[in-house]
Amino acid sequence: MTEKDGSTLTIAPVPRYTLIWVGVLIGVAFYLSDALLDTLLFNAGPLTDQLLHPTWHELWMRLIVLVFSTSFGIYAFTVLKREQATSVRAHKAERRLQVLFNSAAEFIFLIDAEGTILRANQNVLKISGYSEDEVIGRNIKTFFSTDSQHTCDCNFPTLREKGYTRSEIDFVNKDGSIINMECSATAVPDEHGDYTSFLIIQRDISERLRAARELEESERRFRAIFNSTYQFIGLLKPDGTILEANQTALDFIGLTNADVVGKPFWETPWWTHSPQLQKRLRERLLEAAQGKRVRFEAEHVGKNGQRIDVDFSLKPVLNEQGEIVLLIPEGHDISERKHAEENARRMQQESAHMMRVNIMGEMASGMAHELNQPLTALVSYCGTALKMVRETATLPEGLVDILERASGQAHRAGDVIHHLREFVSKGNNDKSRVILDDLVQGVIDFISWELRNSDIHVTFLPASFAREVSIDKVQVEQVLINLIRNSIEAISQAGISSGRVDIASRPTEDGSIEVSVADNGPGIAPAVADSLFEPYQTSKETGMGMGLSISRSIIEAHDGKLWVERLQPGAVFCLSLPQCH
Amino acid sequence: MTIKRHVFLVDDDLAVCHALSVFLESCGYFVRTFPSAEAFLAGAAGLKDGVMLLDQRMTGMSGLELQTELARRHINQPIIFITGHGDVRMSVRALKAGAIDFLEKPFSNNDLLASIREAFLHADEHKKHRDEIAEMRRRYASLTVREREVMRHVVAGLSNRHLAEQLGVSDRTIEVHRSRGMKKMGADSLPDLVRKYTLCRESDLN
Repeated sequence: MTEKDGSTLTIAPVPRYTLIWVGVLIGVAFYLSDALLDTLLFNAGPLTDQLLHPTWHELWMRLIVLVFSTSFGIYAFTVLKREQATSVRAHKAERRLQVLFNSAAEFIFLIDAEGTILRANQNVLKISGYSEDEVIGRNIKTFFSTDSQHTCDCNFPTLREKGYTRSEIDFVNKDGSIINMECSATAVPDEHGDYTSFLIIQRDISERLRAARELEESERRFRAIFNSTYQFIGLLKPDGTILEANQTALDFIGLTNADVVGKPFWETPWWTHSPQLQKRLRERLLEAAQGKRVRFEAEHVGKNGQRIDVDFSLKPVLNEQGEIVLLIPEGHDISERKHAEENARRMQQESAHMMRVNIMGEMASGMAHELNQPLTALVSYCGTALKMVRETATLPEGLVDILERASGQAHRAGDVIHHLREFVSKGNNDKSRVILDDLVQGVIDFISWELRNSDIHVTFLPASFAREVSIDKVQVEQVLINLIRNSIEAISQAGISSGRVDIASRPTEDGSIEVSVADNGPGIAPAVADSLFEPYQTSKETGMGMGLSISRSIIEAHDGKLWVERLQPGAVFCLSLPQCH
Repeated sequence: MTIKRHVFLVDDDLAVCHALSVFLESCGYFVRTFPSAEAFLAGAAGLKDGVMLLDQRMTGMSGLELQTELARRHINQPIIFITGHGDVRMSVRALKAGAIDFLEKPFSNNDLLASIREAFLHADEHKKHRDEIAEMRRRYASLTVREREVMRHVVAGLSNRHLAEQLGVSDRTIEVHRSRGMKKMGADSLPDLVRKYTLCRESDLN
């Protein structure tokens, strides 16, 4: 323990049984001195007599003095012994305090009201590298960095007023290195209750600060990942309430975290466009809250109405006790992949379709040839017969007429085959300039031939003024046939009498030609309206569900559009094709 | 029509062959039928001039292939195609290669007859043309060396005087050579001479 003057505090050596002996000696001395005095002053006989043969009176007096002085010695011994014990206890306490003071991991200073260091613990010297002389008597501020000195100046008035402050300071070691410390200062009142000295305890918090900084850095990094990833990521409570959503997800719907946090996930714009999807999400959230990882494909609609397909998943996050504390929703944009898949599938379907068409074309071509041969012979025989009978003078009545009719029918059969073959033949796939109205009329002629025995009427109102389009004739014909046949089948299935399919064409303002196919059938159920153009969607008992899908592909391949104009009553389909310049 | 014209019909369908033969014979033609292109080629060497009716689609060699093969062999019979499935591309190819017509089955007898008549007209014209060339070449061969030289320059457009200067003879001499040459060539005017002369030279080149 070090004091200001540098002297060491010590405790005086304690007399042990000496006091008793002093008492006994005083008694014996009195006895001897009394005897000596009697001999010398009062001549009361030789000393030996005085010592060995005292009078009773003298003996009693001397014994009383002996006993008294011995008792005093014992008393004094007891008192001193007690004092000594107290002193030892105090000494021990002091030592303990000293050990505590010096062995504390903190820096402990005692300073006066001006900040001058009165005492400092060993740890200060050990760690800072300063010697005792360099520390004691200097102002504590001089050991701080400039910033910390300022902090110190600011805090001192508070310390004086309230008796306690706490701050973070940078302590500069002798070698110039800096320790980040938490500094707590407590005022120590003197006997008058004034604050004249202060106890400063400084704890090294470098480690803690470093850990905090690292945590902050790690948080920052993770947040950067969280926000800059292309994925949609968020955090949900197990009940589905949004805690946070990342920037990518928010940008997509054009909102901020403040708009969505605290809302149920299914009531946010990512989901609200489809009640079906909302329902599904709620069901899946319940599953996820049970600890199941769920995953499904969903469609999100962005702020500008853009639609994307996402691979959506929900992952539960568990705490140490195994309870589900969070759900992580994640959405991965798979539009491109889906689009590619869709295209591949469509192309496959179309090629299958084209193959069927080709096979049909081949068959028809072969059949046409096979049928044409006997027809050629037939036509020729009829012609020859007619020629011969005309050269004959007498004819059975009606023979010429019969032969003419036979020839006519043979020609008609030839026309049918010709038409059929031309119709199904794929031809070359090149686009050619075609007057759309003519093409429509050709299709209607073909269809009308099929309908000659039904009470369904197909009408055509051409109004595109012989404008031309550049198209693959066969394919666009296929689309029109498909649309008209759909109408006819809808009418037939519903058993509607005097069915009508009204076709009209008209030029549009954007330089296209629009063709509409309207019928008076039962129309289209709104439930299937969305999936109308998807493959394998059919309302027919024997349909493949390919028609509208292929039709749309064909029209789109021509830079045109195919859509439903009206669902009910009676469907109206429209297609538009860009006009040739 | 004193001599019967020949029609060669190549079709692998017996009914077609028979029906057309009956008709064409009734019209006064002499018809020979062949069941395939190969059969026709086998007998082609001894055939007289006539018109060919050729089915495009046959087992074995097709009509178009036969047409190519005939051209290779310098057999220049007029050809009419009869086909069950003609497309534009095919008919253009056939017509470019010299076919007279391209009839789509089933066709009427009248159409067929019209085509055949046209083909014979064509054949006649062709024959006339060939005869004329032969005639001209014969006449040209009868010219003397001097007459040929004069003819060449006349056709090139030189006047008598220029010609006389160039050949170093008198105008009168040129006049004589010229009139004798024109007489030998059977030309009654300068344009006629030019045409006939050109005909010879062209056929020479070919």
